[in-house]
Amino acid sequence: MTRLLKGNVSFTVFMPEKTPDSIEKAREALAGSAFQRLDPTDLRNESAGWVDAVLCFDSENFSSLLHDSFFVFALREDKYSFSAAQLRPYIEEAEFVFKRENNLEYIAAQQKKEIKEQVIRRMKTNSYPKTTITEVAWDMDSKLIYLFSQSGATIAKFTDIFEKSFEISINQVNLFDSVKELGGADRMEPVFTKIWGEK
Amino acid sequence: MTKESGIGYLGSEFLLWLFWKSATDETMSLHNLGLGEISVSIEDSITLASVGDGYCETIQSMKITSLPSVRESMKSGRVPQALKIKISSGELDWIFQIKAQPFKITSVKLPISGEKNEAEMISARLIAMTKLELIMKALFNTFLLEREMPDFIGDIKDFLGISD
Repeated sequence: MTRLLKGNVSFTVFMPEKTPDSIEKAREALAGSAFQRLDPTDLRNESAGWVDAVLCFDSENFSSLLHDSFFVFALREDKYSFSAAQLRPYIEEAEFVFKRENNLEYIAAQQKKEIKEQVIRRMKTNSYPKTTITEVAWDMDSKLIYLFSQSGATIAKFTDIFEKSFEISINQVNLFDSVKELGGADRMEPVFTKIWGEK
Repeated sequence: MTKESGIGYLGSEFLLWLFWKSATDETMSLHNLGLGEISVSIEDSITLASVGDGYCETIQSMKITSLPSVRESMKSGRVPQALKIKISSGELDWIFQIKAQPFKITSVKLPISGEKNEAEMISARLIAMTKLELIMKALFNTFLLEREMPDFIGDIKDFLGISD
């Protein structure tokens, strides 16, 4: 629970169509899309799912779920990612060794692909995936959901997993929504043109 | 800055309104929403942009609202694009960045109120965050209502020193 505890946050707000009937239902929904740890031998390069917000290694109990009127949990995303520059020396070395051992001048494209995959597998066993934890607080009083991120990719991933887990659709909330509530934008004119003239 | 571009212009207008409220040291009563007296102050930075040519400048000072260069820049037609702002309500202060387009509130420093353990701290932060959400909505609604008042344009012009 780094961001909230540090007290320095950026967040995106959502309004769901409804809230879970009980905390047990919320736990069930979270468990249904709980985070599954990546294994280096796994074919997947990334994994995303729910974890406990305080104990971000726990994706079973969600023991810190309830805080006053809030359900608090977190989206964990683990991803193995290697840049071309990171891979290059290991691929070149593997290709060099392969050519020497097989007495070859050139390596076929398919073989090159296999060598690259072997290198990536070896690198995965020797490293940890990059982990991103994004906390979520769902206020059962106002119904509003606070996602502690403003990254477009994180918002898209969160929306997708949330809607699948809870079977509840959500819409992003913006201060500009008040314009609609107070009568719409159609009759509004920018005041700047009246202050400085036409721009 | 035309109507065709949607209502994106409201972001800059709202920032100008916040600047104005900060400069006039006005407190706003949000008692009807259970939020008490609110004061707004611009912290140490403002970004102003020309609407036409894309010119943009960031001015940093501990006394942004009383700095003549800021008022002069606005008078010449530059509008606020980003502000660092402090909202105070009772003993609580929130400091954050607010950007006009796309309209966004970022890097919110939530108030610290002497919580002892982790659970208390999380609860206090969550309550502070929801309170800020309510305050900002109330401020934005107040701005939307004030901008429809007949004196609004004249008052802003007087504040900026723009003659008719």
